[in-house]
Amino acid sequence: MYGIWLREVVRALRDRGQIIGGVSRPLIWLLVLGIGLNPYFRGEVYGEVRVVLPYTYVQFLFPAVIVLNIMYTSILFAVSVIWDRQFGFLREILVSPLPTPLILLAKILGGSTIATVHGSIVLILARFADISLMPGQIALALLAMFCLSFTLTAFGVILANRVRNFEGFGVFSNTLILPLYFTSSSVFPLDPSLSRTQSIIVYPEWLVAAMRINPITYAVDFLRGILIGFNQFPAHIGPTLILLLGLVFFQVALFEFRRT
Amino acid sequence: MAPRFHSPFRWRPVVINVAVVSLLMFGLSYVPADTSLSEIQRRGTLRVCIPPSRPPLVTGDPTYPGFDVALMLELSESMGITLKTRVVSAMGADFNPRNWRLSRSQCDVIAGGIVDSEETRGFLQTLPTDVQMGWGVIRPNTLVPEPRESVAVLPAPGLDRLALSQILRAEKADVVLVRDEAALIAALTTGRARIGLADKGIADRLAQDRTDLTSGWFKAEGVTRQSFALGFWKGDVELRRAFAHALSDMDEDGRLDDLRSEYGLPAAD
Repeated sequence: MYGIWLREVVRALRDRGQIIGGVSRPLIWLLVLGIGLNPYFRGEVYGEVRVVLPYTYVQFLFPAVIVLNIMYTSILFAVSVIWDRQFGFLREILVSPLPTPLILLAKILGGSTIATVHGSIVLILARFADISLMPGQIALALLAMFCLSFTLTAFGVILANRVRNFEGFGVFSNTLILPLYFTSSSVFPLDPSLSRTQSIIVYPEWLVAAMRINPITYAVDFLRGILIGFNQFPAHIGPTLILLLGLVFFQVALFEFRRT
Repeated sequence: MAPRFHSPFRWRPVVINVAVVSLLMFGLSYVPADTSLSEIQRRGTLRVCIPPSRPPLVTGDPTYPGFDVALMLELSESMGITLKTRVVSAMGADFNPRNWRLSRSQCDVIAGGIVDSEETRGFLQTLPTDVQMGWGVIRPNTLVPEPRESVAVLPAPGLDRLALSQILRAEKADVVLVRDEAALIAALTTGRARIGLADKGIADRLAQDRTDLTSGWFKAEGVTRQSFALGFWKGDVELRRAFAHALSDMDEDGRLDDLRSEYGLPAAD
């Protein structure tokens, strides 16, 4: 089991392409988008701002960029499952004495570790975002990032079991990751000073509904709670949902893994 | 030859990749987030908006300008920039900061009564100065307490007026709203009001000037003290960061505590 985990981790962290991807996303989202949009969210007259949040726009964006990095790494990690299947490695390890659930667990843990590393790379930019992090906050954030990575990697494995080639999997980044990210209150807040009825007036009802049923909304909210002390929703929803979905996705992934 | 995967150096590329990426990100975390600081350094002056009077934060006396003004002077001096104060009369007169009509074109920093609350941080970035203020009571030395007090209230922007009004309503106090310090003294000396409520700093200063009045904290359930801060425009991360560093330096070398004691403020915890 350790061997499978190690193989995934070493392979991914040796791959410069993946590492560059893990760096370029936070740079684009935080440095370019954050700086670029700062003038639109900054205060010009006391009492008049576009977003009434006790944080700057970059601070608001910061936890969401960590989630974005984790989403990409976790879900695209499933490419390795397709790779292993196509090149026969999966068949080799499946005939080993190791039980199938442990094989799957080792692979998912490998993916989760890599995604957590990619998420923690963003934490280094905390100074840029003007966020002071205490050691306890960092530890809690890493734990939250690992749980989220586990859930999303298990989800990626489910997707990989339904996709037979690399080309088909590439479609997911545009049809799944980005829509999930953009409808998770990641780049704009559902104003906490407004009631639900008022937020529907500010944003169309379909968008508010999409945000509220999107589990990533609560994952982003969970990390925001840890890193900047801001929750748009009750703080317990995020961790509960991540753990619950992690268990469900792992069971489904196991079922499909066994079937294939 | 052993397979490459089992090589004792198998972690080397991993370590190199992670180290390079971490160093790159660490270096990039020092990239300026905005031009707020460089703009002021280029201009050479920092404009700060203050109320006409808010003791002990702002006194209006150039020789003893108040804690916030003295602090801003020290901070800007340590940063090599000149401080220009702009007195905004609305800041002392209106509860609602919206009515102060402060804009970037007037000032870079707001001082002299910015409450460090979540509500304020919705509009400004704050730099806490560890100064706490609250409602103070001022009354004649010879006062004998009565069940239904007549209370003169001098409004103090930033303090929790809702909690105060709830208490006064519950106590069925006879409230007299006064417009300024002179009116407060007049209400107390003529017997129109038996006690006065004002910002603790103002209450202390008024009591200091007169031997027949005494001041203290207004202690009641639900009335809390407010922490004060310097206010920076939202999005001016670099300017706030530079001031935070300068403030931290002042704290370390003891200048901040000296300033606090000069203005009769307790040292920070």
